Amino acid sequence: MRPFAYERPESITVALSRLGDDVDGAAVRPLAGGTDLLTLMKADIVAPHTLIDLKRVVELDDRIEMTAEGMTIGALATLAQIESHPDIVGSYAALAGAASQAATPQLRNMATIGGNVLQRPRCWYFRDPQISCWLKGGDSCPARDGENAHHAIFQDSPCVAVHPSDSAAALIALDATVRIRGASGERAVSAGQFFALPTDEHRLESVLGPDELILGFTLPAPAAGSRSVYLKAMDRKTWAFALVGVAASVTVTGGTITDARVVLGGVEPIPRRLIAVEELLHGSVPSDDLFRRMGELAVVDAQPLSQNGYKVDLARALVTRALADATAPAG
Amino acid sequence: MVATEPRELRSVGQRLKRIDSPKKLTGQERFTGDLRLPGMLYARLVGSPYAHARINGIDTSAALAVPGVAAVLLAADLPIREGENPLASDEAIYNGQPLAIVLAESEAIAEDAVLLVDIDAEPLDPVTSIEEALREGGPQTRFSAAHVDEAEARLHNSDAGAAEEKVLPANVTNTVDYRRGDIAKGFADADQVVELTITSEQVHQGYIEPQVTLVAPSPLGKLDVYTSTQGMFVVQNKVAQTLGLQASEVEVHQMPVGGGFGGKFGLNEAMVALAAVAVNRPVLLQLTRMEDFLSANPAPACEIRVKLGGTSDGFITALQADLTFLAGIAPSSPLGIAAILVGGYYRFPNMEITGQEIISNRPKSGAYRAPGAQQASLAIEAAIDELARALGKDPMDFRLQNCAVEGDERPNGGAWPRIGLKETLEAIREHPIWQEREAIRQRGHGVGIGVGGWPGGLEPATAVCRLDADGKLTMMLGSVDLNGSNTGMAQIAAEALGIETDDVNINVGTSSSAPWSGSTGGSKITYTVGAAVQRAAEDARKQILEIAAQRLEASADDLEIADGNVQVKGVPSSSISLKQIAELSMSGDGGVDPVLGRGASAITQAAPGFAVHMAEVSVDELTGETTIHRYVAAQDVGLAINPALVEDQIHGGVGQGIGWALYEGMAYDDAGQLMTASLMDYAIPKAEMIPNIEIILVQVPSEHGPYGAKGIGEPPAVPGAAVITNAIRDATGVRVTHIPVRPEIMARALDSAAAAD
Repeated sequence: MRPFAYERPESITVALSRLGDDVDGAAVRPLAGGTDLLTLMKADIVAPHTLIDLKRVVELDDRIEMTAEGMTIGALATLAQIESHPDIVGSYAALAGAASQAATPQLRNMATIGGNVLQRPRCWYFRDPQISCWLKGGDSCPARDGENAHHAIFQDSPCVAVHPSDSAAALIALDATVRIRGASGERAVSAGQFFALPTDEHRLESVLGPDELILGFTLPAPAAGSRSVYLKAMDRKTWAFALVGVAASVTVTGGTITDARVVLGGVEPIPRRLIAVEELLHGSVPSDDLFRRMGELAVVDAQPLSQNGYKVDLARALVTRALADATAPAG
Repeated sequence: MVATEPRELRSVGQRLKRIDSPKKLTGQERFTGDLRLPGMLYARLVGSPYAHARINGIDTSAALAVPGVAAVLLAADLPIREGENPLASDEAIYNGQPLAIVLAESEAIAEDAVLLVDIDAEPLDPVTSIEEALREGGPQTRFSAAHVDEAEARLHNSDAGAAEEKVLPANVTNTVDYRRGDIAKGFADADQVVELTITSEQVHQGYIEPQVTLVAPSPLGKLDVYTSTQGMFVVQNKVAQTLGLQASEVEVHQMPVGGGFGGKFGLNEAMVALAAVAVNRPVLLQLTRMEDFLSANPAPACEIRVKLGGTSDGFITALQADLTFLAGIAPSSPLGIAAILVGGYYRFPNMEITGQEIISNRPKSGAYRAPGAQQASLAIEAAIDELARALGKDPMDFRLQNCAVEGDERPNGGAWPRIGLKETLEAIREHPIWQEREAIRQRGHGVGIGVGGWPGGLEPATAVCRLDADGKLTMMLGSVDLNGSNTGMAQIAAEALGIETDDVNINVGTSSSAPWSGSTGGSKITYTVGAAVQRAAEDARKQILEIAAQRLEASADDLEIADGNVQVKGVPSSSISLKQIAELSMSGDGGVDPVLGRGASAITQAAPGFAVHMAEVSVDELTGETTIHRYVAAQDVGLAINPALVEDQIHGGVGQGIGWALYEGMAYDDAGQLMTASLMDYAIPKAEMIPNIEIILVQVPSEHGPYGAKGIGEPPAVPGAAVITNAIRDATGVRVTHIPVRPEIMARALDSAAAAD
């Protein structure tokens, strides 16, 4: 790891004033749990000259609060806090499930939800400092014709890495809002808009500016009759990123689906919301046959690479199973 | 020696706690990486960024300018006298191969400086796969002459290394060819023939403690080597040869080993010694996990084609097998062992086993717990299962009808000695899971069985013991305890002498002070060193009884040792304590020789060990995920010196077998870059992936081992992949022919099976 300076401001104004890129490309970066940033620094993928520790910033917190309007979660809340919070377990099962299936207990004790949604991809070409890749500013993507068993099955970006965050898919499915603070003030972005496919001009997976910070997340109160679920397929039973993850939140009123949000993870550089599936579910009566068709619809546009065709099957199966789980009779 | 009946034993056979546990459990054990010496430098390696490259130059100036960097050593800087330079200079031949060593005052400084070493290299085509290696006009692993080192293979197994001299294609370094009977007639006589091609990936031993060595030039002129190794004397000789020293000028201190599994037979000691001598300061090199994945010695990838024929009355008529090992950069694969075991578990009247070893631009292969046996078992046990199915036979009955017993011929000639394969199969047959497998199938689960064998290792050993002033016994050894074996040594010594196990102190010396012993590997330590320990203790007993006979004025034949005393049999009043004997032997006017027992063993007949495992599994048909519900491991252990530690070994072996079966594989891309160089990308099983393991100990005594014991370390790691893939076949109807059976591979296999229907 390259040397860096460490600062621990107590005010968000000070923290924000320090963030951003220098003219020569060296950067000042925020540090919370550090579970992703430090791995990137150790692998020499990023080399900030200064880290701004956010843990003492008074405007940032780890509070998890349920109100009549819904749930607010501070950016510094750890995955361990989220997976065990009774209101999240009770009312936002997809988020609790996503948090609890991420990484290991040790990592979940350190990792914050704000940092979790900002993790960089786990693509092994991206993570290898000796390999040039498009996402790191190179000309082409070596994974596209390389070892791509863990890569994207939807091809809407020059990058075929997949988003590593389980919680990100759950937050989108739960219609969360991301509260963001920059030098010019506060703004709110829906979780679905927060993530953006990397482009030539913007080789990142979110709209968060380099001089902005996530304050926290707001989740609307769950509608009566709504349930949510997060399912994750891994190549081992624990401590693995999702081969495919699916978060689904479904509201059933009087035997009919009145609202549904379904999000796939592990299939492209950002979580993939399945709008067409959601629209067809709306007004339908839950049935195994319906859910099977939704599984088919989820992958209708899939374009797997040479080694990851199995992910199409996984995505189809997990969408079907998640919808069944989210609408199964309670108990 | 003749095996004694278990009921007569007092210490041997007891479930005693490991004598090394307290220090490990309380964090007091000091491993090599914990050591700090005055003036010590930390080493970090600069590895080749390419699998194959011409090195035009290495610029170390920027790294040397970092404050705290003491030296950046290149190949030419090492004071090497003999053998291959551990640093590459003109040509790099695998990704991660050390090109330079940075020595600095702290590990962090060394790591920073590594990034500043500038390598001017020109990539060349690498050999990365079996297909590429065998392609006519394809790439070569190196443009310079090959270097061959076969000595290590012999350390692991007494049967290996028999390939004859002949001209081989480029990249092919070894072949085997074993034939028996008339293969064409064998298949012509068969009612059913099955044919399978089974592939497995390169895997890492996965020890918790990475390769680590500290070398310090001693003020007395010696070179002190502190290292995590399975073979103290191997390291002593290699370091001495490399540096042109007398063996006596190198003192190896064997340190506690945080896992070896075959991977620690002297990998980096010579390199660290060269660096320490070059700068005349102590140097510590502890590989990072990534360096260990890149540059240590993993087990090779393998492809085995098996064709098997049998008759409708349940007899095997012919076996044809062809094995290909994709070794690393030097000949180092367990081809010979695998070939012997493919054709060894069953009676094959007609047989043709061929095989080849291919080298590639990957790190040199190493041994991994039962090298070659896992791959062999996976292939032959899959084929046996399929042939039994094709013939409409029960897979257990079919195995029992055809399994090898004492006197049956092995592929490389010579007959099996008394082995417990049949007894071990029978133990599994009686288990409720096997008896109730039809009901288990009704639940959608499957039950699979598989055999794992190991020929057993041999190497001479010595042991020396003395009676201490307090009347207790100190046993001095030169062997490495990898797994609690010294606790067993204490039990053997206590049994032979007639004292309590607690009254035996095991003292492992350095390479300068310890009695000589072979390396720890091949399941031979309890079998060979244990025999030496037994003889040393018996020798001490004889001396003690002679002293006592003199003092008690009785015949030595009429004496016994009980409760710390030597007494006339049945007459406790006529006795002398061991403490009194010791004091007498150490006093100026005692007139009797101090007690020093000597034992040696040079056993020439190995004790093969067999395990039969059984698993109940289910497969999620949507995700392809395999879940192991129950696992049963039966093993012929000869005699369990300490059943608790034997079970401990079986637990570990089963865990590793499950890793091979479902999770582990080192992936390289077409350019020879390792993609799985961390424990995040390389999946070693975690606690929740290991089911409860039920253990059945079968005891068919060995002829030469202490009290009938056999080597038990290797066999439990062998059958796992065979058992689990056979259980998956039973549960799903699909034969997976590649391990690890990751969910994606299982899902693909289920899909292709569905498409074929």
